[in-house]
Amino acid sequence: MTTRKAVTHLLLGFVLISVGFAIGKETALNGARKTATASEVAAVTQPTGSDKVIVYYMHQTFRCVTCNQIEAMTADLIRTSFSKQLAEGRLEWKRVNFQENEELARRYDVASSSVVVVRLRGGKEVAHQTLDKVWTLVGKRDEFAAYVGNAIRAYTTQEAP
Amino acid sequence: MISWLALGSALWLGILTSISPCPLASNIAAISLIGRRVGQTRQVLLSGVLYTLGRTVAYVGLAVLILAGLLGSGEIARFLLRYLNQILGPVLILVGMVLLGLLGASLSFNLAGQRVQERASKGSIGWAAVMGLLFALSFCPVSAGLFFGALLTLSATHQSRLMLPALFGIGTALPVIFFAFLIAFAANRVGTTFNRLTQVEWWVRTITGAIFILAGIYYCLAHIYGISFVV
Repeated sequence: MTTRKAVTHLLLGFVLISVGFAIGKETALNGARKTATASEVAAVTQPTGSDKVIVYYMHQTFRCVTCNQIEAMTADLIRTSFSKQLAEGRLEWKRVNFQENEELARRYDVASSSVVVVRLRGGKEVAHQTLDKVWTLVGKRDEFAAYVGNAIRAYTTQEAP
Repeated sequence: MISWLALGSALWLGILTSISPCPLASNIAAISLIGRRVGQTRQVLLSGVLYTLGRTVAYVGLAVLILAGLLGSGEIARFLLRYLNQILGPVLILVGMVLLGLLGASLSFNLAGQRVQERASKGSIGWAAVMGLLFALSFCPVSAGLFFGALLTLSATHQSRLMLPALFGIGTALPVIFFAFLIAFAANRVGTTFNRLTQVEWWVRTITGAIFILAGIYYCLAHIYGISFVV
């Protein structure tokens, strides 16, 4: 009976500490989020190069096997098919935690981990596309490469007038 | 008229969600919850149906709210992703404690105490529906990607707010109830063959409670304390 009591108290203690920790963490995050988003917005609207394409991998704080696979497949594709653009600075590859970056998440209406392609012209964002289909294509390497590759290519080949 | 292809796709997206590794902890908890009444075939079947119903209601509700334009899909998704998984951990531990009779029994010291404890440890099958709803709303990255990305697009193009999300919900429950039935009937067979059904039932019930507590601890560690289990 005493072990039952001990286990009960231990578990209840863990639950209470966890709830307290979660509340504390959320309060601290809310404060940090406000300052972080301001600097990120500045970075997006005033890039160093005026005409470029940014490929974001938006992920959650909680990572999973499939998410890591999508990230690796996109990184792989960029390394193999867009190395020239990447080296010339016409393409940028960024990984962002969208749960810590509310402003970006809202701007691209991110509902889950996904790949977002953004076209900047003259330092201003002119177009973006959220690639939702990566989730259904994750097992199909060729189709995935075609889907993500075409989206990136559509933006990188649009030359400035 | 929705094409068979769309119907099949919705169901398949649900199954794909369920068999992906990220909801594994909640799926194992659900399997043990549904399958724990090894001696009572009807109860097992009924909890399977209720669990499916809980999940389906959650997805249909979300689809209706989003497709009717009442809620932004990104907004609601980010809200659920941020809070639900953190709530789930403590809830799973508490439910596990009730299933083990560690909680609930002490709430009553009168003569009804015995019955309360008995009821708590057995648990009502209504739990299955509540857990189905809660598990469905606790999106992991894969289920969020497939529901908010793929399924809602499919529903929007076919203008189906009920049928396709419902099939998705059934799809997410199918693998879980399949394994739950398998375990329940296998345990039942072992129990009746060796004339030890009461003992088998006790073990399954205890294991179910333990699984809930372990899954709850996992959810707390992963989502509240941010410990990464993915290498």
